Amino acid sequence: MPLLNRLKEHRARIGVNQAELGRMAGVSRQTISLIERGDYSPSVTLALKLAGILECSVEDIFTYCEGEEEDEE
Amino acid sequence: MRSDMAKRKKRRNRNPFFMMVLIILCGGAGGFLFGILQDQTDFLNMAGKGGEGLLKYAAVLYMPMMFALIGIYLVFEFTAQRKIVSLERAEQCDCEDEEMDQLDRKIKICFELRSCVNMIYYTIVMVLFANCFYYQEGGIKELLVFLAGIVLCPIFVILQVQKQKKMDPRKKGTPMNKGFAKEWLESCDEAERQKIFQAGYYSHVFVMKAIVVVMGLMMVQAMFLESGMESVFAAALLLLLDIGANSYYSIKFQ
Repeated sequence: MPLLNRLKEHRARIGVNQAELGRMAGVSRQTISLIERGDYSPSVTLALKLAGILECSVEDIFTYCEGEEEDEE
Repeated sequence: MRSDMAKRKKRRNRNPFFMMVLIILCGGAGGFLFGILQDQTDFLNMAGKGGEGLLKYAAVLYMPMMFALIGIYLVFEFTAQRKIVSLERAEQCDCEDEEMDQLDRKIKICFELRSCVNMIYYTIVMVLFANCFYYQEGGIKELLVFLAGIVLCPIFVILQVQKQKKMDPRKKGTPMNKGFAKEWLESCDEAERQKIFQAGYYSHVFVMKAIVVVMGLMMVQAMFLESGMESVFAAALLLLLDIGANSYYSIKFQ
């Protein structure tokens, strides 16, 4: 997926585990795990929620890589 | 590496009309061969008669088979329940993320396996009961055992859903209620919903293909073993229901 994320780093910065972050964002622990592994791209709503919880911008957490999408094609 | 991938992609993208004509020709050739060999397919008739013998035998042994089936089902359900509880306890410990993912995956597999076994058990109970009464071996006792066996399935389904709700309090919905599927889906988060939709789509594609194959086999059976047209009509009805439901929901969610 052409979306890189630093969710794990930001989560470690505020000192919560996946289950706690999931509870705060209203999603399951598995969803947080899927996002961190890059197996799932969150919706805009969820991305904004996570940015709010982690006290940073969405761009700080998620980066869109155009080059990787061209390679996949 | 890239040229290999491109070659593989090219191979996969064969002309669909060519494939369609090829499949039709193969099916037609198969049917033609069956027609030629019809007089020489005594072995098929023997297999049909042998199958009927087995079904009669199963009808006579209905009660022991039902008790054995119920016993196996109960043992499986209690074993699965214990396994899920032990995995849940392991999750309470402060594990690493990868270990938690592994445990989640195992719990998911346990739940899915339970669902599959529930449906297989339900199907076998229905078939055994219908078979028993078809060969006129059934009475009140057989009916009561059937009812006891059939009631177990929804009980364990309800217990499984309650367990899942206890493990994840966000989940909503009461099993056996009309709006259960909708409530359950609405209580799932976006990633869970995507997984449900993906599984639903691939299931629909697989089931549609399977029904077409089964319908073909039923047609061969009706044409050459004179087993009657009911099974062909049943398969055709299932196919129409599957396609109809898919079309309806595709339009509804436009």
